[in-house]
Amino acid sequence: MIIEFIKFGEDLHGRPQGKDAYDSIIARLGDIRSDEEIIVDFKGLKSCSTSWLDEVLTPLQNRFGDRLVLRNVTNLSAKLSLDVLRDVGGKKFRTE
Amino acid sequence: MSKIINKNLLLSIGDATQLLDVSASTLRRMDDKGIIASVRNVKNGKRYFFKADLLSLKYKSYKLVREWTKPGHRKIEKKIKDFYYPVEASLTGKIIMERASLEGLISDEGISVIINSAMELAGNVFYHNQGQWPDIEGAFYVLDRIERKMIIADRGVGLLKNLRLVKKNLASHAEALKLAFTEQISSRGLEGHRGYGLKFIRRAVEMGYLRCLVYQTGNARLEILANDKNLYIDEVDSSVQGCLAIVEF
Repeated sequence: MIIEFIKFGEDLHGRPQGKDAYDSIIARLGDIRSDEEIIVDFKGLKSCSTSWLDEVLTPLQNRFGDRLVLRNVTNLSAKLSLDVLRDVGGKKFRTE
Repeated sequence: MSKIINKNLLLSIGDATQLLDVSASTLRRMDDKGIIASVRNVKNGKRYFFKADLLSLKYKSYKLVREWTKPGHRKIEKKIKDFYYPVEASLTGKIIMERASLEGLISDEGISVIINSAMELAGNVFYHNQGQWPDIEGAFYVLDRIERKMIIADRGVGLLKNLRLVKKNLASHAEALKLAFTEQISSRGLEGHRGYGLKFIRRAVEMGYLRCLVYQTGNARLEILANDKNLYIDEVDSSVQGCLAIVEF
């Protein structure tokens, strides 16, 4: 299963918006196989905040563990946000 | 003078008058009005000014925001109407629209960090003051693409009152300011781990993606410089009600 973040917008910010995005994602993951990876694709994003990512990625990781994989994390704000989540929040995500 | 970590950030009144080409009495008057922040040497009472603040004085919007965030100021004056955003959606929409004005001037990577920083600060303004605005709700915001400065400010409750909700023994604005930039803490402690926004901006400045951050809440003023991992925090004479952030890029 591939989740394209760009479908949520080019600029992803805000905890409430992140929570909504998570609810939308989880509604589509009902039929996922127990061994299937959940690939989150950052391609095309223009900016992405720590709080939005925290609301989406943290519960996905809690639910799917290492089956969650991040792809195309090239945008600088997304990279820095993931660094802050790792260094300040202790949240580390698997990337391709 | 309270403890200054980096005296290179400060100028004497003599040096300040030379930098701005104004008289010493004009500078003192601006200080007394709260338009600029100064610190004093406790031994001889002499004032010292922050170089970054003095340079900002050249911009009309900086003087306006200093006046607007002074405690006791209770009205929205006509002169700030171009910088005033009463609700979060009006401000975040404006920030996203700023991208076009930065394209070609700054790299796409740089723009992504500026937009992200602005959105984090904007989110904080409304998120941490919801339901407790002391007088005027909303934010002051300006992004100057020529001078490469962004200002976001509010007349909210400030960091100290907010963080005391989860850390009751906080004694001063300076202590609250340091905590907000160094520890994972949020006024909404019961909602789990949060409070990443200011750390994002700190990281972006430290790594040189932004030139400088000046942040004041109450009488506590913080300065972070590019490629420098230190936080320079001091207590100044002129207070800010709420929070005032200036990002240079």
